[in-house]
Amino acid sequence: MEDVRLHDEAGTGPVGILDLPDLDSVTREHRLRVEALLPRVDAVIWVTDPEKYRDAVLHDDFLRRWLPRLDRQLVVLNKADRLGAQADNVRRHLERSLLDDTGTTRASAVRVVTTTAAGGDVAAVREWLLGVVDAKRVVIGRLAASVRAVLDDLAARAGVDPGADPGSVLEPAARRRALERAGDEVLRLIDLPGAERRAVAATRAAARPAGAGPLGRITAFFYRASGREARVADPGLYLRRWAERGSLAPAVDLLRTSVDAPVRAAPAGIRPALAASADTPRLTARLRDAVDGAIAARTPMTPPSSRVWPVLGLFQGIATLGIAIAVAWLVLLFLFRPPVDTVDLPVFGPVPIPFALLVGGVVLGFIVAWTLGLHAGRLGRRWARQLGGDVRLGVERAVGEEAFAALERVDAARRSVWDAARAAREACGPTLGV
Amino acid sequence: MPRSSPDASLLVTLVERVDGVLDRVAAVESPTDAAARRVRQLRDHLASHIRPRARSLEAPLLVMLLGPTGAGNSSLFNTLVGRASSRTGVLRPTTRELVALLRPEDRDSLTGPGGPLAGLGSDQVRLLVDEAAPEGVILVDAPDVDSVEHANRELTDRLVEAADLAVFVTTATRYADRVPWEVLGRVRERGLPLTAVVNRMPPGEDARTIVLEDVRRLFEQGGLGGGDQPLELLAVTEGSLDHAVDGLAAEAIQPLRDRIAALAADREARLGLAARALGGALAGLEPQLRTIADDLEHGAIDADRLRRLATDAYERELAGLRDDLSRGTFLRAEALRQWQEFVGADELTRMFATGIGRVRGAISSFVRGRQEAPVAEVRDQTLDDLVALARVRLAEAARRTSTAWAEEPTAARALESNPEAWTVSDDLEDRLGERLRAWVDSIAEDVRTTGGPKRTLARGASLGVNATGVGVMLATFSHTGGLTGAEVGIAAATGFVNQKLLSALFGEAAMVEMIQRARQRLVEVLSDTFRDELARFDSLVPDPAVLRGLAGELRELADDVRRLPATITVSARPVLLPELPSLVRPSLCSGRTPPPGPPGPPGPGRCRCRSRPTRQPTRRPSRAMPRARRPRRRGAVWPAAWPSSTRPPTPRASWGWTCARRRRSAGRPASGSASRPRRRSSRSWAARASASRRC
Repeated sequence: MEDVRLHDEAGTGPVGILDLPDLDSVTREHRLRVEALLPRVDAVIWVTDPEKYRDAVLHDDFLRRWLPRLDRQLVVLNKADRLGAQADNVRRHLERSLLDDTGTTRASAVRVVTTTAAGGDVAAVREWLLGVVDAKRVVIGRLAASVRAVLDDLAARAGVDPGADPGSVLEPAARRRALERAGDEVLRLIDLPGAERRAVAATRAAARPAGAGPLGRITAFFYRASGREARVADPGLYLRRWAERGSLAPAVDLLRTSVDAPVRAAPAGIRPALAASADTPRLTARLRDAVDGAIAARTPMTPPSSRVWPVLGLFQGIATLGIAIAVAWLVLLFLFRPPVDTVDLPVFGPVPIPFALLVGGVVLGFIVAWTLGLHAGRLGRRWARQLGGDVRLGVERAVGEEAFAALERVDAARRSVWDAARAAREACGPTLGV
Repeated sequence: MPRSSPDASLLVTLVERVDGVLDRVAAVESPTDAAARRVRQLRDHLASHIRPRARSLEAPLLVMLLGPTGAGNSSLFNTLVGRASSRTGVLRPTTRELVALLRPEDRDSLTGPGGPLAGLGSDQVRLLVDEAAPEGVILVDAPDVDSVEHANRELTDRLVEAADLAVFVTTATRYADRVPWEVLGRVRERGLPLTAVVNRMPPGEDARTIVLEDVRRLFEQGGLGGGDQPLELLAVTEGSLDHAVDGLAAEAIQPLRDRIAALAADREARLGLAARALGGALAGLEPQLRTIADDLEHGAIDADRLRRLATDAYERELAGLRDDLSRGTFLRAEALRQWQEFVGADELTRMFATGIGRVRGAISSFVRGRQEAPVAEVRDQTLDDLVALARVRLAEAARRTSTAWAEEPTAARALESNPEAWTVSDDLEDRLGERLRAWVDSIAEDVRTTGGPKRTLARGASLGVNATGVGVMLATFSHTGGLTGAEVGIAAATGFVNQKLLSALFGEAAMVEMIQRARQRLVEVLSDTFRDELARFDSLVPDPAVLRGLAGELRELADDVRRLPATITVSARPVLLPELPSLVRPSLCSGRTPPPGPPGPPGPGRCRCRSRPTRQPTRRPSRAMPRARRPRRRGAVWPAAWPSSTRPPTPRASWGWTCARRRRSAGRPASGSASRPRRRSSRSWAARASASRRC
């Protein structure tokens, strides 16, 4: 601060006037000082003269930027006495050029007064200063204009127009299509039909020990011990190992491709963020975790059971017993070879009972086994359909939530900027540029 | 060492060589706007001044009047012409075109082919053809250099490149304006003889003295005048007007009128001035060439870095893709299951089964009949998955590269105008699909070649070449030379049976060779595709090798210019190449990287900045190199010569500070201290004078 002078308020009101250095000389520090102070002042009087009033530095670097931002500005054409009768002409020329610069049609928005060595229209300057006195309103006006300018600039960089709905970067229809196709790809990878087949096999495997009699228990033991049951009759394991059956690349590619056009069309400022929403390694990892979570949420996948199976098992047991007795009987007959007519064979009509028992046991066993298979199969298919439907819903929901999560954040940010810019326009009123 | 004087033809040849190289430089995108402007300026300068003058000094002298808007150029012009010829007025800017006073016989030399103002339209230049115009002198009133009409500045810039004498018109309130000094910087750079007129001077003697002293000081600090070539300074008092001619009073500018009259009357004087202008132009040529070479070198470093970023991203993704392929996990289980059902069928397994298996297979194939090979389904599904995988990798490489480039100012501009670089090419799917189908066909061809007599076996097994080709294709992905027990799954199972079949058909060794060849061709296809996508980024930045080549050529030319003798004969007249003052060479003292080569001996007038350890433009910054040590980018720079008492302490300005301190230690006045430029304010001249006395 080079010099401080006091003034009486009568002439100018309760204002502090800063005489700033020039903004266009070879001393660059002067301009830097002006640029540092301009954002802090409440009102500006731009002083020029007949030689310099159309200088590019003044107009391009300062007036164009600041006239729309501050409502309290005045342009003084000093040394107007040099212009003689042309002074008013020049003043109007300057006013017109300022209106063109700011793009406004409000003539009252830009005011130019002329001053001379003898004074000139200094009274107009004083009057303007007095009008600036309402400090609170002026400060609020300046702050409002600054806020609005900043938000308008942010909105432009984000590609949103405060006067129109920002919408979504990705059109809803395109988003829906991408999600459907990506979901289909993921489900194809998971292989729900395969899982359903295994669900049916798991149900049958669960029914075997209960409903297939003693032999069923032995068979079930061998199936489990050999690992065959885990390979072909464990839908949970099959679903959990979905990632081994291919790559998520087709699904990720579909999602990524849907964002291509918005990325190309977006303003440069948000392009990196939009492109990052299609970061394929992260998208792949998110999808993988989402699908794993959807499948894990469905576990444990315990096959259904039925009270019918033990009953069938009992009958199967009886049939097995009958077969065993018949076979034992016949074996003993062959082993010991009693002389003919020394053994009394009970008969059932014309058929000896051992044979009848054997045939009856086999038939009964077949019927019971067939019934068990039908019943377990029906239960298993019903369970498989329900399982498949649950997993499908879960996966589709997971894909829908994760696929465009990053893009939704960008949309949310754009909408925030739009909301703020709109609120600023409504609250702060129009600027010179409107 | 005495040097011989070449004739003008050698000079012309040198100029043609420089022009040729600059043409090629202009065809390459400049790294910054400032660099592009330097190239444009030098080309204009060569075309409009050096080349015509190198051929002959006899062409008419071009005297230009330039200055800020409202300084009174047109008024001065009207006075020199003797009538109201150039429009004056109060509405700014007044002059929007070049107004030239010339004799009829000089018209062609000005606007004809090869002339300094050739190619300008009638809306840009207005000719006042007058028999009474000074002989051998063309007087041109240039538009302003600093108004909102930017076209005016462009016209004036062009004229600066062509002029033989510049008359700079300013006023007592505008002599310290920054923008006109930028033009004066160019005047100084190209060694253009200069005269200054300070218009609207205050009437009081004290105020006039203060103003003129300050003006002289600024000009001397700016390297314009002083030493053995003092500045010709003319002061015109406010109000010295002649309304009859709509100009200044003739007596107020009598020295200037006398000078122009002397030039018109004396051919030798004209040749002398033309020679002086040419000498200055030639002396200023070397630093300009080196500066442009430095710009190119910087551009090459930037281009290298950008290309490296892109190459790293694509190489990384290609390596990832090869890793995915080698694991084979991308293969769709659906396709593998179909293939396993086919190759696992008894009809085929009997070829490598033994004992009861072979018998069972024979019976089964007889009963069930021939199974159709799912060639198309498996091939199409596999290729679709491969294309999807490659697209995902390529998209990621494009995204990474674009994101990194978006943070570099030069590359960000290129990306803004090429938004498609952020994603893969639109035709990638078709292109890659075609290449992969060709790859599959090449496998089939290999099978035909390798199969030979074994084809009979294959035909007997109803396998066919295409099906065998698909088998080899799948084996390319799943043949790992050994599967671990943990990899039991559809891929492993299919791969195992597939390999057994191929081995039975061709033998183990031939099978392995076929698979390796197929894999090699696949790697080539993918590498070519990645290379094509990478080339999109490479095309957005200039080729560093080209830039370095051009920089090398410019430096050689600069060396040739430096080797020019101190005196050259043109039009039978000696042209002296002056040693320009050290401050004349902004590339040394303004924060720009000095040219490479051994530092010259510090001599009178040579800036000692050169002897400092320099930032070498040919050093390529490694990734480990701290950013501060890298050659700095050029931009809008305050040359150290500009009068500034308190320059902000920026790295670019550090060169200038060093120069200023060394000048001070050498006993020469430095900027700052008692002679700081006055901040112009609304105070009167008297108040200002009294304030200066207090200082």
